[in-house]
Amino acid sequence: MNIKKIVVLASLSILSLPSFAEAGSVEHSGQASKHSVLAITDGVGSITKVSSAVVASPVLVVGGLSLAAGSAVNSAGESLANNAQNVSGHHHGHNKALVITEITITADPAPNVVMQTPTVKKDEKIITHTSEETTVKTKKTTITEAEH
Amino acid sequence: MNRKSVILCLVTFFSVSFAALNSGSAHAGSQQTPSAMHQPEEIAVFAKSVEKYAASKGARAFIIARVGRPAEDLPKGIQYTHTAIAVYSAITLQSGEIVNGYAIHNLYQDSDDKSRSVLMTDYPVDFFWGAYELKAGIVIPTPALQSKLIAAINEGKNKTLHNPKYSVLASPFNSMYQNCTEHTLDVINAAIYNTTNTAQIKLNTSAHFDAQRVHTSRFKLFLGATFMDDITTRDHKGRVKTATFTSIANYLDKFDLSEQVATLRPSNKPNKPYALDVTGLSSL
Repeated sequence: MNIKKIVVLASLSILSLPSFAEAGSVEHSGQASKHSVLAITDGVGSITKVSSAVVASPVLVVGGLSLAAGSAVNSAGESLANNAQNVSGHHHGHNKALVITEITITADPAPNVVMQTPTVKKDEKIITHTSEETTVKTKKTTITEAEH
Repeated sequence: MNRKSVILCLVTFFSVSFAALNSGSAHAGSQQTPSAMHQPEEIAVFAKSVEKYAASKGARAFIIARVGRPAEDLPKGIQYTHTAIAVYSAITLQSGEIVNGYAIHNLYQDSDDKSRSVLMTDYPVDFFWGAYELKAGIVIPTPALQSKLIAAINEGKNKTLHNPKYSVLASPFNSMYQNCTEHTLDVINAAIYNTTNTAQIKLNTSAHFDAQRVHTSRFKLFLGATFMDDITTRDHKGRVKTATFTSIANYLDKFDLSEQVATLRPSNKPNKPYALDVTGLSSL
């Protein structure tokens, strides 16, 4: 095989390397614009509302009741049936239709993206404690504001 | 052309090619591009329709997959590029309101270091945001396995089983590297066998799971392993096989652990924005 053939073969091979199985699972940190776009889309057409999520807890089924995992009820080990947070307002068994919000829920951008977004000025109170008294100071400080 | 010129030419060529491969454009469909491949409303409606479909089936936990690349760019037989576990959840919004929907528990390749991965929980619209095609693969496990999957995630087994060393072609039969699909499989097996003992999980995987062969030439694999941070074949013996959405669907089907395997696409029917075309296992 001569050099020209090697170069052509290498070209074709390396240019088709992205054709592997799992490519497509890169995290979303480069999608900061998604939040802006969705915010504009909010209420348009079929989308009723867009909101960022703070936290999601799996819904467990205990005795026919839907319970949010990690609730005080669970951790305290109290009677689930008596103290349950029935988040969907329905009794559920497996294979029965579940209630789904009409809200389009989105995760916030990655922390590094949030930290790079434009800033706003906001008053912040700094409390310093001394042995004699508590001093409260107020100063202008810069904080970040996430895109929504 | 003398030998030195040839070597210089090859080095230059590989450098340029490698740079291109590592750029966002080379990973087309890998969600590094800031813009979506579809209109935001289309994505939001499709994501919500997938949620509604799963909810209509009473799915509290299911396996979900998306397509991040054109089909012609994927090796033969591989139809999805990212797989994760969706769990019916109580979601607290920024307003404080608590609503019900699906949270998706993912292993994503780190966008800054492609040889590493991070675990991330997101939601259907996030999941499908950079999809090349609005198409979802879903496997709804049996209720018993759903309960075990929810318990496994609630107990943090998905975090315990996370191996941040990422390889696109990770072998599911050992724990040298891990990709999104292998992580999903590990969580499934941790749920089934009620263990986070990696050695036991890998032993069971070797005994019962049929990985999907990656049909590509050894020369390409050699170049990939040489020039790309997220490709290695060091963890493979013989033919390169990896976990895929299809192989997980087949695995659960083989052992009667799935209730439904489906491919979902928008049906684009007028006045029915959430309507889907649903096809079964044969289309996977």
